[in-house]
Order: sequence, then structure tokens, then C-alpha cells
Amino acid sequence: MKTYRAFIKEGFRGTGLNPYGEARNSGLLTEAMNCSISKRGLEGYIPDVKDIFSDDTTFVDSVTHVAVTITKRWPFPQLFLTDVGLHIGAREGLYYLNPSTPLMELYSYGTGSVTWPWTCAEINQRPMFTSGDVLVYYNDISDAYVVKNYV
Amino acid sequence: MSNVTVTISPAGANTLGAKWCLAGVTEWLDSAETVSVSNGSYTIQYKYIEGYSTPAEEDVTVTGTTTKTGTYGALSWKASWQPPISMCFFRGQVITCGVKHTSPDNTFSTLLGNTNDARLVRWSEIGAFRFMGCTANDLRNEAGEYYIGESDSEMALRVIPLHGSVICYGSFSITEFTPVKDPAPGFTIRKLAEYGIKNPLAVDGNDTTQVFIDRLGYLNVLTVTKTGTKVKRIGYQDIFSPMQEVFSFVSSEGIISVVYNDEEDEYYISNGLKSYLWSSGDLTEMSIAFTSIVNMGGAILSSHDASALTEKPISASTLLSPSLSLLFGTDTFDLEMVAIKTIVSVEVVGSWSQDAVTEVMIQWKNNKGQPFRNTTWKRCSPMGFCAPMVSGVDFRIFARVTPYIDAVIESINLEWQLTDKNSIRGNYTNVNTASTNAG
Repeated sequence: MKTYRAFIKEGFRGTGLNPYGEARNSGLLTEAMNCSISKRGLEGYIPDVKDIFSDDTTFVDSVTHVAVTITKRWPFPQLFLTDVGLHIGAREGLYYLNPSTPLMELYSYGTGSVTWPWTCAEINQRPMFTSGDVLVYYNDISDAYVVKNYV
Repeated sequence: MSNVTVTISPAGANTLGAKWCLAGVTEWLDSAETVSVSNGSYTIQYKYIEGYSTPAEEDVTVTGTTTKTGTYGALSWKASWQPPISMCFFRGQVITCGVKHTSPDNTFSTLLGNTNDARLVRWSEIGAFRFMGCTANDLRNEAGEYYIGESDSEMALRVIPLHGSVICYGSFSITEFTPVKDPAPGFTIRKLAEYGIKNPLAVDGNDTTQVFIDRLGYLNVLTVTKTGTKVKRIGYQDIFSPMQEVFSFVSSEGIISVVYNDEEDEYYISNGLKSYLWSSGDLTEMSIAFTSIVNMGGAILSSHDASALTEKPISASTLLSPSLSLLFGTDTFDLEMVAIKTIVSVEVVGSWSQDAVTEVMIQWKNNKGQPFRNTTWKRCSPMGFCAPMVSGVDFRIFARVTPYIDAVIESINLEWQLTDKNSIRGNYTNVNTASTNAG
């Protein structure tokens, strides 16, 4: 019986997953996991990112030195790198991570918990944050951060 | 004649030069100063001072001795204003947008009370967190506000700079704010699209490109071109629409987050359960989800913990699958012939590490109305060959390489035979065509 040859290569050189859903004989892919597409083809790839909220990381409160729980519940916790350092926008609240201490010490802004995700804006080296549930901004009159909750 | 005395508080405002006057009658007067005027109606005005909100003008009828108090506000965000949903910094100004609904689980059809602040965009004075209607100096004419959309069902969800402008993503529209100098500092405002996003995290990007998932589930790319800002709807609705169909901030469901990694110039699009990589215009899936990415540039996270020294970007990540395989599956193909065929061999063309295992699985069915059936996973030779011998009309080929590291797949090569005897005689020429064109 005669044997024929066929080649499937479009999906490996560009586009990857089919933007228009399943399409017969497109040569594209319906699944493409743990890879990226380059001129060479489908390359095995998982971004090399360090998770600082893994189980072996312990955060402590800067004042009480009691362990602080940062819950991993989508889309939290979020990280923000500002001119003054790293901030953690968690479901439990907003924290500044002090890099100069031996432990992963967190300074709490006292916001309380939130359900909406955080965004950040920085002006005059004063980062400000809002989540829809709470606004944290720097007040130059009182020279202090103000926490404004949704009421 | 009558006497009018106005006391100004707080003390800090007086220190900064807070004053009052009777409009058109007196000069600026200090707190507790008394002025003698004829009986009649006057307007008390207060002088703007930096950092404080100015008390509202007050109409008074003066007879005998009149005493009033003017209180300057010490907060640069009014007590009556709710927290915005999102904010960003752009050319010296803070831009804020939106107010959340009381019920974030709904489809944003019910507004909080009768406020339309949900679609309000505010921009501050240049260089200060001072807004119109609060602590901004009206004479500078820098701070301002604008309501996006055309109805109160709109909700401004995210503001994010893009090159020379700020893009505001609403629930039903996308609006561009471009700064202008003349006739006064402000923004020209242009609607870019009549559709929006479902949550504030559904967009991210760099100075020239933003990627977002719209509320219908399409992946879109917004770019700066020579002729202006353009939105291009790419597709993938079949992937992203189900990912945000059931949507709730309270239960953490359906929240699609787009995260841009500036080091790799790629986007991670996840809802915490499924995760995709958008890179150079191609979409693939990942077994890990990131809530955000921060490139520390080798900075020290903790002076005690050496493992916290990191050259890598950092994030909160969720491993969605323990599998560390490169896995792919082709679209359905029939070799352009509706007849029973037999795939006799599959070659996975590419390269992988010496200790990697390559396997192939084929889905097949004999007519289009049937669901696909799966073969078992068959291990390939070190060169990527296997001989599955599967007959059917429609096929999909899946392959996986474990581990994924150093694996590169270039194509799939098939050898197949026409096994439907009824089709061979009349379609022989077409078979050759199919073999040439397939893939």
C-alpha cells in the first residue's frame, strides 16, 4: 500500500495557539504548554522567576516581630517596586518590605484587608496606593501617610 | 455700622498665610481680625494656601456684630470622596479613576447610590497630590476631571500611561488622554474603542504597547503608531472568555490578570487557574501563574538570607500543574480527504536533551459528529520516531517532551496510508495533492 508523507509546521514557527479557535487543517496548535515560539520552533520555556512567597519565607511585623500571614489567593499578593523600595499589596493589607533587616520585616500601613487589587502611583518619591477598597496617600501637611477607607 | 470677625482654623493654615476678606470690600485679613462695614449682604472669601482645601465662599447678612469661622481642610483627598479604583503617575501628575460598586460581583449594572464617580477620571496639579475641588490651586488651572463613557453603567477601571498619553480603560470604553499646553494645561480626550475590560488587572504594558483582555474575552494589543494610538483585536475569545465568565473579587473567580515582564518583553495572562504567555505576537500556555513581576536588578531582599539575593525577577506565583513537560497538540486535520486513513508513523522533528523522553498521543474519529478518541501515550525513539498505526478520518496529534528544558520542536512529519478501499480508485490524484499540501 502506498505511503504518503505530510508535514505540520505552521504552528511551530509562529502564532502557536490558533487565535480563532479550532480550525480544520490550519496547521496551528490547540495546545502548547510550557513553551514559547522562536525562529527555531517551539522551545521549552517556563519564565525563571523567584517566588518570594514560597512556604519557607517568613515575614514578621516590624513592630511586634510576630509572623505576618500573606495569603496567596488570586490575584494577591502583588508586588510594587518604588523609588523607596519594595511594597507588597496583599489581601490582608499593604506592607513595605524593609530590605535592611535580617528578617523579611514588613511595615504595615494599617489598611485592613481588601478584595479589590492594588495599583500604585509615585510622586516626589512618595508611593501612593489604591485598591478601590482603600486609598493610601502621603499628606504633606501632616507629613504622614493617610489611609482613606471605602465607606 | 456693623462689625465682622472671621476666625480661621486650623493653626497650621494660619501659619501658612490663610486669610479672609469680604469680596470687593476689604483686603485680605488675618484670622480673628475685625472689620467695620455698613449693614448689608456680603460674601466672605478665603485665600488659597498650598496643601489645604480652601473653605467655600459664604454669603452673610451683616447687622450688629457678626462672627464666622472658616476651616481649611488638611487632607488632600476629600472625606466625601471614595478611594479610586486605580491610579498612575504621568509627567508629574497623579491620575486617578473610578469608584468601586458596592457589589463587585455583579456585572457593574448597578451603581453605588446615585453617584457617577464610578466613571470619573481626576488628574492632580503638576508635582503635587492636589485635586480640583479639594487642595488644588484653581488659578493654576492644572488639576481637572472628566467623566468617561456616556452612561452611568460605565466604570473607569484602570489608568495607565502609554508613551505621550494616558489610557483609561473603562468597563465599556477605552479613552485616551493626551496632554496639551494651549490654551491652558489640560488633556485632549479621545475614545479609542467602544468596548472595555472586566477588571483593573486585565491590562498591562510598556511605553509603546499595552495588552489587554476585553470584557468579551478577546486579546487586544494597543500600540503607538506614527498615526496615533491603535487598538487591534487579535482573538483567542475561546480561551479567555471562559476564564472570566464567572467573575467575583470576593471569591477570586474570573479575575484575569495581565502581567508585563519588561526584562523578557513578554506578557503573562492568568486567572489563577490557567495561565498563558503572550510573546512576540504568539500565544502559548504555561503551567505557572504570576500575580505581578518585579525586576530587582540584583538588589538584596534580605541581608540575612543569602537565597534572597536575586538576579531573577520576583513574584508571587502559583504552580498550576506539576508537569514540567513541553506539551503541544495540533489543530484537527483530515489530510484534506474525507476518507479513512491510517497514520503509520509520526516523527517529532526537533532537538532535546539526552535524558529527555518524547511521547506521542493521537486523537482520532471516524466522522465529524463523533467525539475524539485517544490512543495511549507512545514513547518515541531517541530520534523522535514512533509508529502508532491509527486509522480515522480526522486526527489531532499531541506530543510531549519531558523535561521541557532545551527542547525545541520544529515540525511533525507523518507517514500515512489511504485505507478506505472505496476511496482509493477515484481519489488517487487527490491523495498526492493532499500529501503535498497538508500542514
